Amino acid sequence: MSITPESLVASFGLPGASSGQILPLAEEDWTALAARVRAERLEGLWVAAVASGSLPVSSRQMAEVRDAGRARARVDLELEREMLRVVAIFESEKIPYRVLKGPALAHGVYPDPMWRGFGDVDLLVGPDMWYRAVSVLEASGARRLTPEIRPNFDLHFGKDATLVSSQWEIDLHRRLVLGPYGFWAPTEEILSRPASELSIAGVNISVLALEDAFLNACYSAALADDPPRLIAMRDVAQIAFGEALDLDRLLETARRWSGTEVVARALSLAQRHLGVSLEATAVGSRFAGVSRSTRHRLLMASYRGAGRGYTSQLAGVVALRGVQPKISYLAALARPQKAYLSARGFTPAGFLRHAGRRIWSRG
Amino acid sequence: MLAVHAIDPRPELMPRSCSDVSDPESIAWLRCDTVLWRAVFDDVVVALPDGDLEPFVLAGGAALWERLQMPCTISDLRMHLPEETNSEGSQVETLISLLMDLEERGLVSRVGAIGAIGQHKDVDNA
Repeated sequence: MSITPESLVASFGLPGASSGQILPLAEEDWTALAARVRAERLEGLWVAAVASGSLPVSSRQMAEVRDAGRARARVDLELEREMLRVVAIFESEKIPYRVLKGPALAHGVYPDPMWRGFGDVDLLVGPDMWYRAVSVLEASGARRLTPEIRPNFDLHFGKDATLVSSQWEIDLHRRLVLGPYGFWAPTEEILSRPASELSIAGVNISVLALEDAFLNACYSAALADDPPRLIAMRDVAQIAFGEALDLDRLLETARRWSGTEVVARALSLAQRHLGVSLEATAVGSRFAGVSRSTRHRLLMASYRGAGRGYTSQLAGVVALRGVQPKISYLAALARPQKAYLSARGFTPAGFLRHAGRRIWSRG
Repeated sequence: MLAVHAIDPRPELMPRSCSDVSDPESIAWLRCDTVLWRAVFDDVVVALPDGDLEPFVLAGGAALWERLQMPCTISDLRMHLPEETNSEGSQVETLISLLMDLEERGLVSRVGAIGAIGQHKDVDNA
């Protein structure tokens, strides 16, 4: 796979990353790069690449990179403020939580938090505190964008709820990821482990243990988006090259969560898209020999394509134990409550038609 | 080259003479560890964890911000910043003159008397 300019930016600072091979860029290519960098929230790495001299720029381009970096920094700082606000609420309400992804990785695994931009605040809470967490956030002024699909769906089957506070998005996670791999990674288990702690602006926040954070990064890279986001693959590479993972613990957790093939796919995607040799890392070599089963190949394929939101949820049924939970789950997916449909602008028939079209378009 | 133009967005920081400080050479300044910030080239973008003040850019302030990680007197800053920012003395003075306004906003604080850079233990024990 040829390395694109945005891949060069995304891999900046990694061991063995290429630099400046196809640069400086023609104006048209530069414009395309700028758009991709903003869409992928790579402005911090863009600033670092230019500052290091790896990416030659004109004075006009330099000003554009500076403006983009300032804008990114403002957004990230606003989101960090929002995260600290939510953490303070959860602490006072004694709601156990873990901050996921953005700020946790920016401050926990990157050499400079500027290198890891983010677009929302992600926090994981357990099933026992789920509705309380939503309720206290709503009481603090946040608004849930879409009601749950059916009453108690979140508790038994849900993945997340998006709330908006001022202009900032809070993604409250009930699980790490949608579909079967989400069901196989029990939140109760994650929260039962001692939290890692980070200090941000003098406040201690709870984040995932590094091995869980790596698994979550792999799930984001391999399952959450199609095509995969460069920043998610960078997270995978950043942690892998950090060489701080407890590999035995990681492998044991990945096996228990049926996630070894997801990790292998995430490492392979990151290596291919970023042009770095992850096989040379300890975690890369440990997962290099993972065999690919047809079952997991199909399950992972359900996370790809235009209808992946529907197909990965349908695939989730294989991870549920017992006939009744499977029936309840599928019935809820097929017959959402009115409030949910109304928030999404669907009639019951329109919803099914939309889902059918999206699933059909995969073919 | 340091480009000390005003800070954005509003409200602007107000440069002030260091004579506002009773004894500028014996006062050490330190950035507050409760501040959220990011360095962007030679700028630094800062925000307080709470309050209504939006994040703002301290243009050309990254070297000053880096220095303020440890207690610094104005003499220390005058000694080091011209080289670190590749700037003229007058531009460094403009940057230094923002200290009091940064203090009012809760971004930096005075930590007590200090003889010279490298004697931080004395400050801690003061």
